[in-house]
Amino acid sequence: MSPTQQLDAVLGGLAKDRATGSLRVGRAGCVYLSGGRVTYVESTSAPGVEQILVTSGRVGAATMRSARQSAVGRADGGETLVRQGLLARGELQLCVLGAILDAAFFVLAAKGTRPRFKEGDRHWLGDQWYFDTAGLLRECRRRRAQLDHVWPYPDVDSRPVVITPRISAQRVVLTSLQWEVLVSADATATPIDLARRLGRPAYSVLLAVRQLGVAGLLLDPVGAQDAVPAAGAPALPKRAGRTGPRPGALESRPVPGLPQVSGDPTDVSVLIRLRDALERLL
Amino acid sequence: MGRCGITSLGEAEADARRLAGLVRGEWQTENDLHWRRDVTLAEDASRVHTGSAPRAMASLRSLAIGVLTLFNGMTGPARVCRHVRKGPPREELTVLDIEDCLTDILAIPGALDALVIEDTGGMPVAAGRTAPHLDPQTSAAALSQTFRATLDGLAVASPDGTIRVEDVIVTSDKGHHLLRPVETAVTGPILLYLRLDLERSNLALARHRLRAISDRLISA
Repeated sequence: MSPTQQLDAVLGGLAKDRATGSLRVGRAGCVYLSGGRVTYVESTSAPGVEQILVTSGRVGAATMRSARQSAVGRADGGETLVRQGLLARGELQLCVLGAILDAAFFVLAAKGTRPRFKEGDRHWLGDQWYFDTAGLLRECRRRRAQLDHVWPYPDVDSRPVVITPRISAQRVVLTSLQWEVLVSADATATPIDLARRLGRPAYSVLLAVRQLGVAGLLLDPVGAQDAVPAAGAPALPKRAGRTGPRPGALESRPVPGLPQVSGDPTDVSVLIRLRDALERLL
Repeated sequence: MGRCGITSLGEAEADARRLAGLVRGEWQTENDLHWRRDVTLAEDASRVHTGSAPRAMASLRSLAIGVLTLFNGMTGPARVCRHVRKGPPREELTVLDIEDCLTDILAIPGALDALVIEDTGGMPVAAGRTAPHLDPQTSAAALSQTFRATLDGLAVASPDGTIRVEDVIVTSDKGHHLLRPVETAVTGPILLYLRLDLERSNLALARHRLRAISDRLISA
């Protein structure tokens, strides 16, 4: 059983037992459950509700600290913020819900240490929204797939974001978040750093960076030398060592009578399998 | 303490349930009509008594009761009078949580089904009265893509290349479809979706109500 599957199984068990408490997942973060449903997820990668509220200027840092301190043991911090008129209830729910989905993406994919459950532990914000564990896991899988669907290069998730100074396109359409990423990218901050700085969901920043990558706005992205930007096709997967053909071997110089070699990864993998099979015959 | 009553019901029909209903029903008339007339509209306290004035006043009271009960969704002239005097009661002004928001969207005249969608991944947050064969997961993901494609298309087609969409309205053979983005500095992107019956809905009213609901959802 892989560590991720193990975490899924532990969560499934806690959901079945309608457990209330916190599940610490190594250094990655912590999942809070109430009656078997997830009410909060903390991640070291994703900005939490506190950070979002403070970074956006919605709630002062001191107010937030005191709300948190007075909620220790009572788990009614969210209620306090709403009562003080700092946030609408719907807005707090939406904020918490977004933060849970964002953090779960990183925490539920964490590998390594055995998760530890602490019975009865509750998050200081209290229960603002409930996710059933199966639904949350499904959404995390879907988000992972969405990321790879946009641009299948997980490497850019952990590298500093470097924007290309000049682009070949004549016009670019950006989302508001992509704009924020472009403005804040300083060639040293990774997407996670940017998310923290902007107070934006980390997953959304990952997605925005991959979208920038596929639009050709990132400088020297992984496998850029293999990419076929002119055709707009997805770039080639990074080849490891000797298994790949020599540089230049795949250069698409149309040979009369033969179909043109495309940059499509499936075509390439068929060619590699074909070569391996031929070598085995020798 | 005993009570006596005379009924025209036959022996076979006059069971306990039916009789108890009739006894309570007497109060219904008293509440519905006489209490409203005598107390709420103060007929008992009226000192108008000369000539045909009492009769005219009674007619005016009947008319007033009729008009007041026309107030949508409100029962009892007392409540309506308070409403007219002071504006809506306090609890109606309080902000909504997500479930209330969905209930209010479904109360819009002609509403067929509604979804609250988390637009980063296209996940349904709350779903209401969807057709049984529809999967909210699939619908939410598809609507989220529809909205994104609309934004991209309109941004390219707009004169200055930027766009700020307040809502998207599509009319199809399945009804009017309304999509309204909701986003604040502290929330992720959220979409409200509402499908309206072509015949029974008022598009302008629905759009207005949807805007009011989304404002109440996020404003403190």
